[in-house]
Amino acid sequence: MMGNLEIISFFSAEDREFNREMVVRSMNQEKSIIMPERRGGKMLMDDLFKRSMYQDRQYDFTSEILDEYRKKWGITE
Amino acid sequence: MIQENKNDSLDYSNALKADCANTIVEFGEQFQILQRLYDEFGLDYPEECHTNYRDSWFHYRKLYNKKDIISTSNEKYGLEEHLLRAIKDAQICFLQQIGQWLEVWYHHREFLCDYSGLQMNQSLFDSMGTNWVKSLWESSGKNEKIFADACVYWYKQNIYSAELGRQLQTLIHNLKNLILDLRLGGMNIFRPLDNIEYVRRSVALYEEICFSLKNSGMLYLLPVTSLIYRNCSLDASLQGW
Repeated sequence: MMGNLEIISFFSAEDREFNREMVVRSMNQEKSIIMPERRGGKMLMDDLFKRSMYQDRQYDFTSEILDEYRKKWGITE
Repeated sequence: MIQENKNDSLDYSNALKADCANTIVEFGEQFQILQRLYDEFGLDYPEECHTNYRDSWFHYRKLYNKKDIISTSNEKYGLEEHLLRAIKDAQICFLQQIGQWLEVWYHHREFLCDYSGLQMNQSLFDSMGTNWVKSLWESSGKNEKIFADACVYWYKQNIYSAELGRQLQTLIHNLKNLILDLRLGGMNIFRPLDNIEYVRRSVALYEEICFSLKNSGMLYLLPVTSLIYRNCSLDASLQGW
């Protein structure tokens, strides 16, 4: 039914146990990872963080998909 | 004539029941695939996905006793709603967690302390196997602080490069693209003809991440990212963003 969807395992059984131990150790922590808001901010270019404009971005993860969405539902700026 | 219509209705209702049973089995197989992805990194499978899957069974139980098409269809929609919610949550939760880990290493200058000027105890790095992170954990005497410092030191000195930075950037964007596709797919009421399409894309992305990060040894750092962040984070750096 699921075709031939096989998952390649990149970790050995001991590695998986170790991964689990590390995740459990970090679970009950007060300090969670806080991601700063970076929209229209800096990005890595030539190994340096530079302030980048929208049109300078090599990878833009919003425009194409959101444009399609806007087109479909007639949403304008 | 009335009798004939009644029979047609019963046939249709039975066909729906069989269809729903198949859907539950099919989604169950998809959940198993996702569970394996979670297990690889030692992550917890979200509880809500289990409860949503369970709730789909309640709808199936209700549906099983119905005889008319409208009630049967209503239960079918309820059942599918729970299954789709469960599978979407399981995928997004996994992808977000991996994305968050990758971002810490991609923005390591902003997130983690700089030990490049320090003299580290070189005996820590003497016997590093393929899973160098695990070896380091053992040679650091399972001391979280020493282990975290050593990981960050080794990453900055020997693993990180401009090329790896670009790889991480691409992977983070691919993860965000897929998350956005999943979320907007729900808002657009879009459902692929092939139920497994999104799971297939998630698995492909998982493989892409593992293949591209394994050679540099970066892959083994991912599951310990939260632990390292706890011991080496630079909170002050977040204020600039």
